[in-house]
Amino acid sequence: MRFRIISTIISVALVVTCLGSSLSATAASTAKSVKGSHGEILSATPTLMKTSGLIKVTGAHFDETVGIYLAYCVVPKKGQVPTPCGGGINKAGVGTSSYWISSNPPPYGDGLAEEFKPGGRFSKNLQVSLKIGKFDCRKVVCAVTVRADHTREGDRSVDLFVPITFSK
Amino acid sequence: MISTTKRNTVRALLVFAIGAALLAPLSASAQTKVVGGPLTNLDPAGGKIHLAFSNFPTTPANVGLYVLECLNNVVAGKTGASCDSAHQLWVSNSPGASATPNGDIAITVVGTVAGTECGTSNCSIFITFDHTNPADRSEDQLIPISFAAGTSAPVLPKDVITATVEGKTLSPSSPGSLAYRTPTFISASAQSGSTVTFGSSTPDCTVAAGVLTALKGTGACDITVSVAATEKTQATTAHYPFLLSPGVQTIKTPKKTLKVGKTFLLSSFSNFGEKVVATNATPKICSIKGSVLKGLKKGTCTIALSAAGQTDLWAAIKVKTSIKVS
Repeated sequence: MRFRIISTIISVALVVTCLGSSLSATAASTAKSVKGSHGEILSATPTLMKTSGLIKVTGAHFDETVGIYLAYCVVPKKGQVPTPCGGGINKAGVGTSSYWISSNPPPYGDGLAEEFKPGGRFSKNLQVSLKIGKFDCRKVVCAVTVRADHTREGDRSVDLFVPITFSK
Repeated sequence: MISTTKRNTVRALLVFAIGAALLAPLSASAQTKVVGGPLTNLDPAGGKIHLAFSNFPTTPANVGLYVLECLNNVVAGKTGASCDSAHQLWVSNSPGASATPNGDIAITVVGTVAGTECGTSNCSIFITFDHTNPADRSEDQLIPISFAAGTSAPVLPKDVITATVEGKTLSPSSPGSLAYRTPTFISASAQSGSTVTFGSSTPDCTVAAGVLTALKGTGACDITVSVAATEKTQATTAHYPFLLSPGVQTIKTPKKTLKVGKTFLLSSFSNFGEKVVATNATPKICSIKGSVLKGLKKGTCTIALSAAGQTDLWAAIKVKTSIKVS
C-alpha cells in the first residue's frame, strides 16, 4: 500500500517534470538562431534542456547547391572539424541523431540524402543528449551543428553551431 | 637602302597577311597560352597529348574552357558535327570539371573524327569557352595535330541524340533558360533506341526522374544526355547549356468571400518559404491578426500580401486582393 502511494507520488512528480520541460520547450526564450556568412539561418528550440531528448531544428536561406550534415556535436576549436558527433554520420538515412541534406548528392546518395525545400529550407527533429561519447555536455559545449557534407571535405565556411545547455 | 626597307615592310605585310588568312576563321587573340605535346606522329588508335595552360581567362567569373579534337573546318559553336565529343575535356575550377586550369590537361586523340581520317593535316585540338560563356568566340583556337601512318581503331558513327524541354527541341550551341526552383520536364531519345541517361555537370542544377531543377537564380548549367555504345554506334554524350534566371515567387491568394463575424487563415509563407506580411487598407470592413482575417461588417475588404526577395534567387512580391464581406 505504502509502495503504491510512493509510486503515485513519483508518477505525479514525473508528470510535473515533463510538463515543466514541455513548457520550457515552447518558451520562446530558449529558441536560438545563428546566421551564417552567406545569410543562411539555423534555428533550434528548445536550447535549454534538462536531459536528453528531441528538439526542433529548422534552416532557411541555405545555399541549395551545397550539401550539409545536420548533427549534434561537441563544438571544436575555431576552424577545426566538428567532432565527435552524436550518432556519427547517418549513412543508413534513418534515425534522428543526424541528417544528410543535399539537393544534388552523388548517385549513391539518392534516397539517402534529403532535398532542401525551396528557399534553402529544412525542418528536422534532432536527438540531443547529455553525453556525446565520453564528453559530458554539462562540462563541454555541445551544439546543433551544420557542416558541409563529404563532397566538400575540409570546407569550414558553412559550419554553424547552436549551443545546447543542460540545466544542473 | 630605302628599297630594302620597303621590301622588308612588304615581306612583313605579306607574312602578316598569310598569318591572318590562316587564323581568319578563328580568333587570333585568345589570351590562353598553351604549351605541350606531342602534336605530331600521334597514335591513331588513341594517342595522348599533355597540355599546360597559362594566362587562363578569369572573366566572366568561374569561366572554363572546353578542349576537344576536331576537324580543321570546325564551326565554332557547332562542335557536335565535326568533333570527337567522347574525349572532350572541361577545364575549369568548377566542381565536376575534368581538369583544372593549372593541372595537367591530358586529352586522348583518335585517328578518325566524325568519319574523316585525320592523317597529317585534317585535325586539330580545338579550345573554346565552356557553357558559361557559349557565345564568346574570343578564346577559340586551333592547334594542328598529325598522326602516324597506321590504322585507327575502327570508329563507329556517333548516336544521334534529340532532347526536348517542355516540347521545345534543345540545341547544344544556344543555351536554354531555366528559372530557380521551377520544375521543368526534359525528355530525350537516341536514334539507336538505347536508353538515355541524364546528368548535370554543375552542382547548380539537378536532373531526377526527367525533371530539371535549378538551385540558383544566376549563372549557367550544363546538362548532359548520354547513351551507351551499341553495335552500330559509339558511346555518345550531348551537352546542353542552360542560363539560369530568378524564380517566380507566389503567394496563394485567399478566397473571395467572407461572412461578417467569420474568419479564415491567410497564407503565412510564399512558395519559397518567405514570411508573408499582410496589410489592411480597410480596417473597418475586416481585421488581420497574425494571419487570421476576420470580417467585421459588410463591404469590400482590401488587403495586400507581400514577401521579401532574395538576391539572385527571387524577387519580392506584393499581391493586392479584395474579399467581399457579406
